[in-house]
Amino acid sequence: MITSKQSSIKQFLAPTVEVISQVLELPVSIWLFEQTKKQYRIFASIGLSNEYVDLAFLDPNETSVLTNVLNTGQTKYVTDIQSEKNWKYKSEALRMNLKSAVFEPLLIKKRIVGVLDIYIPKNKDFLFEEKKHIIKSLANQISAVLRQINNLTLLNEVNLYISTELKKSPDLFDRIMQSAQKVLNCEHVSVFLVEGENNDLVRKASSPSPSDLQRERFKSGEGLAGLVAQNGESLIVSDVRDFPEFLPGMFNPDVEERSMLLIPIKLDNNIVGVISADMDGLGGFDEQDNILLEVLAMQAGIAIQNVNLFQKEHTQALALSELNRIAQQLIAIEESSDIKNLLKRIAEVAKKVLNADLIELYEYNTKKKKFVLPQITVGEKLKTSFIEEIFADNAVWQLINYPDPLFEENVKNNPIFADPYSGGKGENSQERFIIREKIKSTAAIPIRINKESIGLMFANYREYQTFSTEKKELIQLFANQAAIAIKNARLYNEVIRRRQILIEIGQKLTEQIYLNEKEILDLIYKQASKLIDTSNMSIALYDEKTNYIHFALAYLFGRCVDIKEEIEWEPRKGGKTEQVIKNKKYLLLSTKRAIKKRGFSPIPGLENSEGKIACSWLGVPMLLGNRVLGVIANHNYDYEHYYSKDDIKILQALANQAGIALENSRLYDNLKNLNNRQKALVEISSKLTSGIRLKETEIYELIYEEASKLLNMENFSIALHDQEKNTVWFVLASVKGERVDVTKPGWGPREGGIGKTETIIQNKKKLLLQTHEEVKNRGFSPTPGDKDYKGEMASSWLGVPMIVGERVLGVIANYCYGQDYYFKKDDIEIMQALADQAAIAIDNTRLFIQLEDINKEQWNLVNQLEKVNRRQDLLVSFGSQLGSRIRYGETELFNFIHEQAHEFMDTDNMYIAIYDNTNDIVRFGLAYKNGEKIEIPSRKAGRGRTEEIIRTGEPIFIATRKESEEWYKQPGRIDYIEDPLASWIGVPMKVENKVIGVIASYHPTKDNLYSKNDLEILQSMADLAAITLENARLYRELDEKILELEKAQEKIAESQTVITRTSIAADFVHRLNNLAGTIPIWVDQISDNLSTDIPNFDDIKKYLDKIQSNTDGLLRAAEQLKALPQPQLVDIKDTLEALVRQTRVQTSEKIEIALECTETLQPINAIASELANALWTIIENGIDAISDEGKLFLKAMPFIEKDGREWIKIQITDSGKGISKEQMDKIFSPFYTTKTGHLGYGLWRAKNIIEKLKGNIKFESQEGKGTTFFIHLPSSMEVMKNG
Amino acid sequence: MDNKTKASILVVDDQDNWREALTDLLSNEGYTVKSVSCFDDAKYEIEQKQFNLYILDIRLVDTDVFNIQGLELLRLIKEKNVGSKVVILTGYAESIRDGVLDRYKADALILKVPERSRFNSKEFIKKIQELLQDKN
Repeated sequence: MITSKQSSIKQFLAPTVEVISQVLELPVSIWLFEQTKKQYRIFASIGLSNEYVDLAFLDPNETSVLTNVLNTGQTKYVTDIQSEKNWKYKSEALRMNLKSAVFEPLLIKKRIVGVLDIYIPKNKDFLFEEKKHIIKSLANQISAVLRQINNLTLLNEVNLYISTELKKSPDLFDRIMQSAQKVLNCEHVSVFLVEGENNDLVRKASSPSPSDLQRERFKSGEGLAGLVAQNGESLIVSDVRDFPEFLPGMFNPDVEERSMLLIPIKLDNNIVGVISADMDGLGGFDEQDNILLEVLAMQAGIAIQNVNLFQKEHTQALALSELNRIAQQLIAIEESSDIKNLLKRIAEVAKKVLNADLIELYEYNTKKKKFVLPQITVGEKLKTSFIEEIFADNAVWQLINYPDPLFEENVKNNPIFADPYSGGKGENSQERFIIREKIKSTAAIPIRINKESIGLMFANYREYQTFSTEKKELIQLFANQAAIAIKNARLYNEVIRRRQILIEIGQKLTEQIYLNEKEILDLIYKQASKLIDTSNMSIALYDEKTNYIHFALAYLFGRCVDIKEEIEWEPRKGGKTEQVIKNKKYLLLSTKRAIKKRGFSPIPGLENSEGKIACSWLGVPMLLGNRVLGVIANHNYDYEHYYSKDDIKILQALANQAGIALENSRLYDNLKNLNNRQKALVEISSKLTSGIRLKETEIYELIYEEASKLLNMENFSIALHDQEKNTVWFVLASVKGERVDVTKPGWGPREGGIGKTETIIQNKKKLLLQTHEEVKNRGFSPTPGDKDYKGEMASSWLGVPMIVGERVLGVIANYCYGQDYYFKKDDIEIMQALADQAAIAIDNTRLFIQLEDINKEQWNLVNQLEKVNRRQDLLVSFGSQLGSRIRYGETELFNFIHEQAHEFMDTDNMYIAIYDNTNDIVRFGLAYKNGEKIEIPSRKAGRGRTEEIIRTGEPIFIATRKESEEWYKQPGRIDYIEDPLASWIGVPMKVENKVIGVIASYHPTKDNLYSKNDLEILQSMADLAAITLENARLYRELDEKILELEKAQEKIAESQTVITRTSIAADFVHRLNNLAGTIPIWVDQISDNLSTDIPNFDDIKKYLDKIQSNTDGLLRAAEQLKALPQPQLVDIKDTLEALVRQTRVQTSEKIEIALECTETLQPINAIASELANALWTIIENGIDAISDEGKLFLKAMPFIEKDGREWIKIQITDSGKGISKEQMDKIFSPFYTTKTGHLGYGLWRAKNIIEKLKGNIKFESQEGKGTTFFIHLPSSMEVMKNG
Repeated sequence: MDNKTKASILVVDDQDNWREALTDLLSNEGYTVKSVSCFDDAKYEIEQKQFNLYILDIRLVDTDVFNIQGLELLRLIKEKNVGSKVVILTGYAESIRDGVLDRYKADALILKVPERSRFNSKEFIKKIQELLQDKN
């Protein structure tokens, strides 16, 4: 059976088939068994149609010419395909014009595995007898190829099978046996092992053989196995009877024809066992089988050695006890982070254990293929020498790749040590080490991890040694232990290094945002100096983990000193700082005596200070929760009892703040809280004047750079995610070690994808694909988005999300080729940590840029001049007020700006000019001079100062009249108002870099009135004004468009609730006033009562009760508000009467209001307040239309339609100014108004309410005469009828 | 004793707390105070007696958004034309001032809760005193 992968077989067979086809000049195909489909199919072909090759198959049980050949092993010649009854694909053969065919079986060692098929087309002559031999030999060639493929595959499998770690030898022997069976395709295999003093062969594993007598033990030289064990040579036996050495008792003599293959298992040139295979018949094994089994035996040898080593560890008590001791020592060393130190200890132990005179230990860097120099030397050296370079023919280089220790009892006999070598130039290097140091014997011990040399140790002896087996084993075991220790130390170092780099990244990424410790401490000092005498202040930081105190800041006599000493903290008696830390409480020493008793030195830790002793000392802990982060201390040299209770409190408060700040700066993880970070950012950005901040791209590079210290970055990518657009794109990528241009297609933004990256983003969880298969199933391409990728699949893929809070900013991914389960736990952790860091950094940068953008102008001003603060605040409030007035007309906006701007500028002399881009006209919307409103005529844009600002987009600053005159003197400039004025500042109003106008402020006579700050304020104001003006303009445009009621309708639902609530709210306010309004009266009464000589407490109690009951009433009212009103039956007559009454209250007597109403009107099913509101709007509209005198007439009556439906008809007529033709189609539009101070949605809303009640509203109007609104509402009866 | 003791005041308000508070406040100042809570009681008092001063709430039925019976009472009082002073005391907002004073001829409008402020007992008393002196 062919067990190899189909694809590799096809690959191997293709050239073979081509050759055959060329030789025969005929179409050819090879049929083999396909494992997955359990069918025979064409694996290779030439000259056949592709459709046929893809289509054709045969089941093993199917009757056909081919299966017949497979079963019989006989060549078959089909002379006429069409007349052959067992031919399956006759029509295909006809189509391909094939006449006859030859089938030749393919055999691997007598086993039929497939068929070579040769086809003869109709037009070709073919003589079978002539060709049959060549066909046979071609078939043999194919068989050979197939066998090779088979062998390779088998060996590979077997190697994996055997070398998988085993602790028990029986299992191992079974595995060796099974492997041999598979490799040789032979059932009967036995594994023997040499054991005991007499080197007997003992059967360790065997497969049942009917002919085998299962003899368990052979003496050395006994039987064929014994023969092989003795000779150490493999043996192919074609016929067991040929061998006289064959003794009875091994095989059943009844079986005559039997062939055998026997291979010795060798270990260090010793024969440790034999593998024996046998099969029925003669000549069952050939040379290839021999080679295969030899390879297997080699593998078996290594595996047996490994198991033996393991077992010997348990048996050799003496060596073991010594080794245990070493192991313990080495494990202890493992904690040390210094590899050099560890190697030194190993060498020292080695010298002792091995009784050597001189130990030399060379560390070898496998990756760089270099020795780490200098080597470790332990023992007395006769001559001082330094090795600068190890030359290729030096013993060290020659031995580094030796797998096993080399024991040389006389070094002069071994050319590796004794022969002169070429490399060196100096005298030292030319003299061999052994001569120089008078070495007689040496043991060269490789120190290896996973078969890789990491070092080489020489145990040198100046006396001749004999290396006993015990000693050798001890040395070997020692080397193993040393290797483990070094490995552990390296791992430990690696962990430390990784951690450090992580911290480094964290710092690099976050220091851009946070104040560092030093900055915090400096800030604390600065703040403290405002509150207390800090001329002798120190801040000590305490590290809980290391138990160290470290003075981070110190001042002596007002000067900053740099105390870099670190003193280990032990709870010593009398240490002041230590006591503060221990007690978590302040320590105050108020007399010189007390301080002296405690011990004092201006420099902490200096025990015998001869200097001046302080008179007062105060230290407070920096507390965070229950932890002490450090101590802030002050002392004073001049006064005893210098520090008061207040000082303690102040210092403690400061220390607490410091604690929090320090902790914040330390725990950058806290950044994850967005709000805090924003606050922190605002705070910090106001404190930081400047500083280089990382751009996002710099962050990616930094991540890549830092990550490459931690991870294999051959295949790495960073993708970002835009939550709003739901897009993903790559910002950095590396494929097979090459950086990729991510601007290329595939890396660019993609929307709503379903790739791995999107999955990670959606799940907010890492995605780990651990095997080739998993990656394949998930879809993979080195270029994202490439769906048709047919290339090499990665074997391990890991992607982790970059998350801040709930938002996924992106994904970083890493993958590798050719290794399943590549990512270990700490790789994953590192990736995640990296992603966390990156996320925070990116988010910070974004946030920062955001803040910077928004507040740049404002913050600059704040930072530069504190005095501007107030103006700035006003400007901000101006901005927000202005911003909310987008429904204002232009003139109103100008007036508003003028009105508001006086807070921070001189509005007596200012103008606002608007530039009409389309017509190139400058229009002065507002202008003041000396407090008087003036008119500056609009003009075609010319060469005035305003135009200059419009043209350049830059502000103009003129300090004096003279300067102004000079300005106008420039050629082509025109002074349109014919007054150069004195101080003059003007700034552009810009929207998206387009100048829409100019604001200027000036003074007719005074020079030097404005500072640069004034200019900046004016610019800020102009920016705000520009935005509002532009928004207002856009709004006006929008207003036109909003006429489409369809769209407006959508908003009705939500606005309705709000507005309904608003109208309820008005009522609520009324009630509130009723309920709460009396509280002040009671309070007044109480206060009056209390101010009398004898307060009446009964009265006061009474008043308090009243207040209480008022408050209760309020709460109840608030509860009522929560419920939305429900429709009810509303009496229109009552409603209209009430409305009329209310209208009368609110309007002048000159307006006559009349109501005419049919007595018996059906009620309307509606929310009373809503309906009243709608009617009220129309009434109000009518009143407003009447400018001074006039009449408002309301009429309500039933109205039966022709179809019998019952309506209520309401007419509201005013004698006002009427509605102009242009306005008629707009009055029901939302936010349309002709009235200032109105939001303008009243009529729109009224219409909506009426329409919601299934009614309608219309109007008739005549300009100058008045308007009548007609409202039709279905009666409640009607609504009920209709359900 | 000054003229205050003789001055009589009718308080009309449907809100118990206001009636109590005003009664308390004015009594402490020495005025003779009577209070009623609804339109009918008030109308009865107005028709039967004559007070020096009336303090009227506008909305006399709390739950009726459009109730302005207080203004009806004002009209009744003014129709009698005996020189009594009428103070409208209301929970409504400033916007009704013109209508109440011009159209309904009230002598004063006092808001129960002035905008951005609170009811000031002293100023209230001062206003009452002014109105009563004006009469004399």
